[in-house]
Amino acid sequence: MYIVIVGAGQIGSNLAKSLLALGREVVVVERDSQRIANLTEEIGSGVVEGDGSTLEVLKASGVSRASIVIAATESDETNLAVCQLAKHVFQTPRTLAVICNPAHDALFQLLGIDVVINRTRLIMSHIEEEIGNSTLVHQVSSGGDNMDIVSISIPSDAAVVGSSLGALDLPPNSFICLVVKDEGPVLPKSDLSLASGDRLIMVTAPDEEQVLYEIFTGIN
Amino acid sequence: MRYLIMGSGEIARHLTDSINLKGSRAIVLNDNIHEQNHSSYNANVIHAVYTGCLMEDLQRAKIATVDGFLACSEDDNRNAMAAQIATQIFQVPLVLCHIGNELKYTAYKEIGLAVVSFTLMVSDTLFSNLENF
Repeated sequence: MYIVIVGAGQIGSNLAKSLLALGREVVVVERDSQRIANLTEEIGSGVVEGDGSTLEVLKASGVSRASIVIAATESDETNLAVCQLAKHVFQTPRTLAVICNPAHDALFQLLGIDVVINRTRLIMSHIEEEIGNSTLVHQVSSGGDNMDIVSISIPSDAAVVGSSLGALDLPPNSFICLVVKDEGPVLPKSDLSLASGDRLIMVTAPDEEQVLYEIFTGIN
Repeated sequence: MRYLIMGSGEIARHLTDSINLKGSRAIVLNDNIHEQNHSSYNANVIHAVYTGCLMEDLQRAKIATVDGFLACSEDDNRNAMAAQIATQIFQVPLVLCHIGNELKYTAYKEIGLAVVSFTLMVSDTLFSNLENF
């Protein structure tokens, strides 16, 4: 599998090293000469110098035979151009963009970028988990269908403690996939009773998250 | 009519003046503060500064309320993304986007963006004038 990575910052260069270690064929495109020198020292010859958002440089990197193009520069504008040009001009089967600003997520999804990694959101999820007292944690953004996977922990004083799942009035686009209890994961059934400390894995629409938060953490 | 123009320099300046002459209002989103301070723009022009987040900057510049959007900064990638935000997210009725790089111009045209290339326009004009000699 041949993979082209555009951008040799922290993300692009570490990704290249990991993929090479897995035996993948990887080329990295970068325009900063210092970054090129650093990466060449580590991985050898698989670095192409130039602006990866131009057709000339993409062509020189061999993008026409790439299975995946990964746009990982620090600029969302550049990453969008890389993915769109790879997909439309070179018919790259899969494009993946790392974006910085969460506000741009929807546009990338709309324009057909196959995988959009929102690094701000990823970091936020980890921080929420590390802090430990966050009740609702984002796990995955599932893509163009505007659905998220979240986990919700039930606090001890929540009104839903003792309620059965069947008694809950959930918003229309929110679904419980799994309930993680002390003894392990359980599939959701209408007679399953919620206890303090249970963690629910849910699929939900972003605009229903606040309602879910209120349902599962609200007190009487 | 209200137009949002993204970009600095002579083309943005002339566009703004033309829009004003026709009695329309212009909002200029510009990353060049120096250009803004010394511009000849009149009171019929609102200025907004590009800070780095295109979506938020365009929203601050009231893209949701405009009748037309012209992306003519010097950065092709920024123009292309801004034009697609205007069409896909805010459904701006008229969107035009400058792409200077000839190959990219062709690619974005094929993708379906309404693109213009000032470089191509000038070179075509020069060429047709040369043919008349």
